[in-house]
Amino acid sequence: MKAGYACQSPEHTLARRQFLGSVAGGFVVGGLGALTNPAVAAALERKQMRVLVMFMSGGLSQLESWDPKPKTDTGGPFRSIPTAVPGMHISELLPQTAVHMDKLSLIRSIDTKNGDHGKGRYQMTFGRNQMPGVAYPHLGAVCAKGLERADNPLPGHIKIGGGSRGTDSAYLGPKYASIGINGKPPANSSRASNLTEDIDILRNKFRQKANERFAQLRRTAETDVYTQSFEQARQLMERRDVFDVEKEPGSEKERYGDSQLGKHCLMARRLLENGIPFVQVSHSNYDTHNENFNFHLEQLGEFDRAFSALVGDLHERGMLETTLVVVMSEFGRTPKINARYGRDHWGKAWSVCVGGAKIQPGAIIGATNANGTEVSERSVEHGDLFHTYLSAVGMESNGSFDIGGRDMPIADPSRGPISELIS
Amino acid sequence: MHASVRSVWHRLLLVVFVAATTSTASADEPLHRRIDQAFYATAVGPVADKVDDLNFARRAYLDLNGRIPAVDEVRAYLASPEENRRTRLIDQLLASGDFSGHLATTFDVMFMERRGGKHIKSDDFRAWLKASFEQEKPFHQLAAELITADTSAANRPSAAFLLERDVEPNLLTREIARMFFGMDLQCAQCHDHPNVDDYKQEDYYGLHSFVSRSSLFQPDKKKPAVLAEAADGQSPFKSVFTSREAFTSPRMPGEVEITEPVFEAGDEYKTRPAKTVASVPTYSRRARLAESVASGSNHYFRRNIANRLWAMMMGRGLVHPVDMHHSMNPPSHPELMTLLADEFAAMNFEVKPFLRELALTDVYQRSHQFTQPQPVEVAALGTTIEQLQQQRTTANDLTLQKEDEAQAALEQLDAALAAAEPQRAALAKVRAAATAAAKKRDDAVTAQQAKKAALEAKQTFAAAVKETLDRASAAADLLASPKDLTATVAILNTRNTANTAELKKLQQAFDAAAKASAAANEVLTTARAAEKTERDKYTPLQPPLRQHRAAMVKAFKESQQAYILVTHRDQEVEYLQNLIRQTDAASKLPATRSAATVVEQQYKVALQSVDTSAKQMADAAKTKTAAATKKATAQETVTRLTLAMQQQQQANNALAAALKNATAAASALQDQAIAEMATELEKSAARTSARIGETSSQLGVATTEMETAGQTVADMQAKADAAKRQTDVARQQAAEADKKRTELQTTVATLVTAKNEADASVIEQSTQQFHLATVECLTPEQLTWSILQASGQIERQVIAELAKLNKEKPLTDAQKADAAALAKRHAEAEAAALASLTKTAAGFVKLFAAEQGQPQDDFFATVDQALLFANGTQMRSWLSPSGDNLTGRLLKLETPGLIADELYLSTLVRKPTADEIKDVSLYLAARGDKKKEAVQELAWALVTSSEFRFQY
Repeated sequence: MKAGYACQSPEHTLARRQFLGSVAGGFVVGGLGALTNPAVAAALERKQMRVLVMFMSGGLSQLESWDPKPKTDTGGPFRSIPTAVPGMHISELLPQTAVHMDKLSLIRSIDTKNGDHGKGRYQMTFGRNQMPGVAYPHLGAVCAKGLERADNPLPGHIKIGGGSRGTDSAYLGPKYASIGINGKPPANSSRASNLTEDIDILRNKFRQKANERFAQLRRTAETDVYTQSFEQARQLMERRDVFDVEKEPGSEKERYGDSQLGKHCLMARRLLENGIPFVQVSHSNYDTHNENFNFHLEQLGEFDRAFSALVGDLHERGMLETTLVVVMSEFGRTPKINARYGRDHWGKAWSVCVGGAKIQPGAIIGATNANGTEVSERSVEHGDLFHTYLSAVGMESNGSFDIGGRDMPIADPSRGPISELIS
Repeated sequence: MHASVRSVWHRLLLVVFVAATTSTASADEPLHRRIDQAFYATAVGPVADKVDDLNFARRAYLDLNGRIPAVDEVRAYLASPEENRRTRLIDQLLASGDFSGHLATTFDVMFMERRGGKHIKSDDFRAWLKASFEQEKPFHQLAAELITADTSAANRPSAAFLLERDVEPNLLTREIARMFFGMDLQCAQCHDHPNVDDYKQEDYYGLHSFVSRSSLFQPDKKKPAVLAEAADGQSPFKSVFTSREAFTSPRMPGEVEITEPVFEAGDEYKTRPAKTVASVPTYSRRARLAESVASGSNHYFRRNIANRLWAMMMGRGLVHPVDMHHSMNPPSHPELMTLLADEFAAMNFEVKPFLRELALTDVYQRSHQFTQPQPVEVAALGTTIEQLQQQRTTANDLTLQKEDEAQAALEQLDAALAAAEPQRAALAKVRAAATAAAKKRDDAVTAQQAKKAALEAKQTFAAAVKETLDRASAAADLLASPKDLTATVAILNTRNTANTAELKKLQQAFDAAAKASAAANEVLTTARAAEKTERDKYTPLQPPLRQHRAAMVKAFKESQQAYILVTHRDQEVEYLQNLIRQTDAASKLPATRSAATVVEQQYKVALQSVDTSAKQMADAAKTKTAAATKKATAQETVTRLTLAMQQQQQANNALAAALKNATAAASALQDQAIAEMATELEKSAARTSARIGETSSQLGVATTEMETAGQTVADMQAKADAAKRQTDVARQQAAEADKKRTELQTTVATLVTAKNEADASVIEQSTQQFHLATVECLTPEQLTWSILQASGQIERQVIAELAKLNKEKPLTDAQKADAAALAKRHAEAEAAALASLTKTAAGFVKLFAAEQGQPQDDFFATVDQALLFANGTQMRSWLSPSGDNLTGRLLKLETPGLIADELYLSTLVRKPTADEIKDVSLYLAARGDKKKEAVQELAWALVTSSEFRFQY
């Protein structure tokens, strides 16, 4: 079944079935991650905030997820069900997630005034409207920089499922650009076969001695950063198995579901446990101009299982207090159901689910009217959300980065966080 | 290198911070001397000495040829005569082909920030830049060509600057402001810059107007994109902060609005816009910008490029970052900045001779380290600070005054703009109408021409038919109407009749078109007249607008320049205060340290004395205790003996009485038995007496013992009391000494901290003021090519290419004997090697470069880079021994000394120290017979060391 999408966005070029079929054997073998020990993980999370973004690519329907309107002209065939929060109802397509809603919150009043995939993705992940000639860093790059820890050699900005390094860090520099993790350890992270560890240590000692001699003459922050990068590389080489999801027991894979998303969510847990500040998992494809309901039934089934397992695990391991979880899309879907039982692009009144870190649990921010055609209360846009995410992980979202003497505001200075959502 | 710091104190009070430049006084001197004079004229504080020869060579190769020297080049340099060695090297490097290649790379990165490939390949743009530098094209001309963006085949790469930015006006405004005027005006798109007072929305839109009419034109994606430009379009703007609305004609930063020609509606295009044709206006604003740039007269344009070239050589700009020229970020040397800008312009913006002058300065040849601190005359600095603060106050007053003037002019401008607005709107309206009329007229003329062409074509055809008919009729008449010809004549006749009708119609259509055209022309004439009427009303309103704006810009520029002095003096004062702090801490430290040592000694003595007296006290107490025990024992003995003696005495007395009685009884009774008993009693009494004597003497001894011990106890008590008093005194002294000691330690620590902080600040500020060379990372290209050079990969590739060429196109014997032919072949091989290595280098460069479209001067080191160095296959292959590459050469050398020499000269461009030779020797020894591996490891360690990674 290939979806006959009406618009020609890049999202539509991949048939969904092909996507699901390509899952098998995505990850390769390796050793145990250094921080799978719960005690060590617990110590780490007290120190560091992290961010997990579930990106529902193509545009998740708010009506089939966070803001159902059953028995209205726009509501569609699905019912709404109660959740762990009294009075909060979500779509029946998310029964397992409903159990965890006491840890999560909903923002139901998003108006981004946009129905274009590219622009929407930019708005939601860069926190501003795209402007020609101006490049801002991705949320992941901002978090990788803002939540960076000197003692963690692992890359800070990871997109699960991708391939190479992205160009999304703008002025923050390539250090914070996204790295696509596809189950393999990073490039060049294993020693050449003819070089033993002892010899590697020996030659590095010679290098370090040369560095020390140079530092005695003149030492700068930059020379320090340069010499440290080798130490980080060494540490990364020791921890390259962090990226190997096959090290997780089979029972875990079963719980997360035998889907690509399940594996990706398990991988996300592994990475977050290892102190990586930003992890993004994408789930494709929600761009349901045709057969919206069948697609959401199937897609959200996969999502519900994997996502609820992940949220449950983060909670049980005490990591949710320091991990911001966001389920976002580039936009929502039209309340109006089209002739092909589809819903189209819609940026006027839609929802995002957030939780963890300093987000108040169990809250509902804003509302839409009875049949979801417009925001009726507390309208927010992407800039506000961006501020909120950063505030939730303890960053000063009104602050600036100092880039070589140039002041760069971290988030759109004309917007601000949804303060009532931050504890 | 020990007389390392040049003192410039003697100049201090003579020429400190005089505002006038020294350039006029010495205009005949070469520029590099005048630069140094300008530098020394205001230099206060320590200035590092000249860098050594090899370090200089490394620097010059990196800055002028983009890579470190090959080991042969290093040896040749060292072998050359010492006199003018550096100047000769500079000239040699400037003459080398690598120079223009390196400049092309540097300028490509500077202008394009790693954009490229959408419309024009980076390689093509670099090749164009290289050719430009080889032709010694002046910079202002080059800049003008980039803005002109001629997309014709021969010059197409010059359009990269615009095309790769999709000719997006806001992006172009920002980038032109940054690259050519040194100002990052981005924020001023929506409002005056919130943090930088100098960056105004007026400036942004002044530049924006030059490019806002240009656009990317590519109706057919398969064909190359070109540029189109509209003849109309203003850049009105409105501040999102203050809601001030205004508009401006094109204006260069800091200058007045340019005056523009007005063309009548209908004449404004050379090529009108159409679906498949790129429009060309009669008057191009972009060309006008190019023209202004080409004149090279703009203040900011001159300063920007002079500063960027300075930064290229010195590691940082006089103004830094280079795109932040504004009065809150003053040049480190305001006078020097002016000198450089003026002199580069006077040199007709020729890059090569200017770089030569920069390379010859003392500033360029400065060491990157101070080896010995120099005492500072604090009192003199105090005076200087006062002078600077005085100058600051004066400049600040001027700034405020000029700001007020600018504000007043702005208000007048806004009033004039508001007053002119109705007329401007009226003119815009009739102009639009006239433009529309012109378009209609043109369309009507085109239609008329089409009708005319159709009519004429038909006329030609009809004439031919008629002629044929006439001839056919004549023939038919002659031939007496043969059947077939009659039919033909009939057809022709019909056709001819039809033609006549059609011609009539076409004539009517043409007449109508001509009439319409005339009518359209009439409308246009009326519209033009209307426009003229309105324009005549508007024209007199313009000069006041221009005057107010000019007054505002002028006052503003003056306030800016005054404020540059304010911030500069603040920075100088801060630097001098750090120098004072440093000197102060440094001068107090030795005395405080020796005082601390003295007190430490006192403390130790007091502690010792406490120990001694405490020990005495303990000894006395111990002796006292022993004596007391002894006394008690003796006391017991005395008591016991006294009791025994008493008993013995009583017994003796009893015996004596008994004896007396017995003797009396014996003599009275004359009893033998009693007499015998008396004798026994007598004996017994004698024995008792003897025992008493014995006890008595024992008692005497014990009593003496007791008394002696008692004395000792008393003595020891006294002694212990004395010792206790001594101890208390000593303890008191020790406590005092300890307090003093702690205080002094704190003072020393505070001084050390203060000195370290001041040292760090002074180092930083010295670097910012070029008293000390910067330590800067190599650019991605410099790094890559230096690795290729050091490892011997460049030569290896040239040899491979040479072999390939000689195999493909063998040289004849005659050619082999001809030096010119051999050189040509070698040059071909070098070019081929360069091309192939450039591809290899690209992957490396990508990993070390910042993101496309971002400033490329920010340093970062990533784990990816380190992993590539540590484990990448490419590095390994470059460093594996092969022929005469680095490790190949090392492998052939016998002694550790020779190996170390070759290794350090090849990688770090210097000779190894004795310690380093020793380390190499130890390493080789540790690796035993694995010499092949050992030399690779050593080479790897040095290529990845920070000394290799940085320019210093």
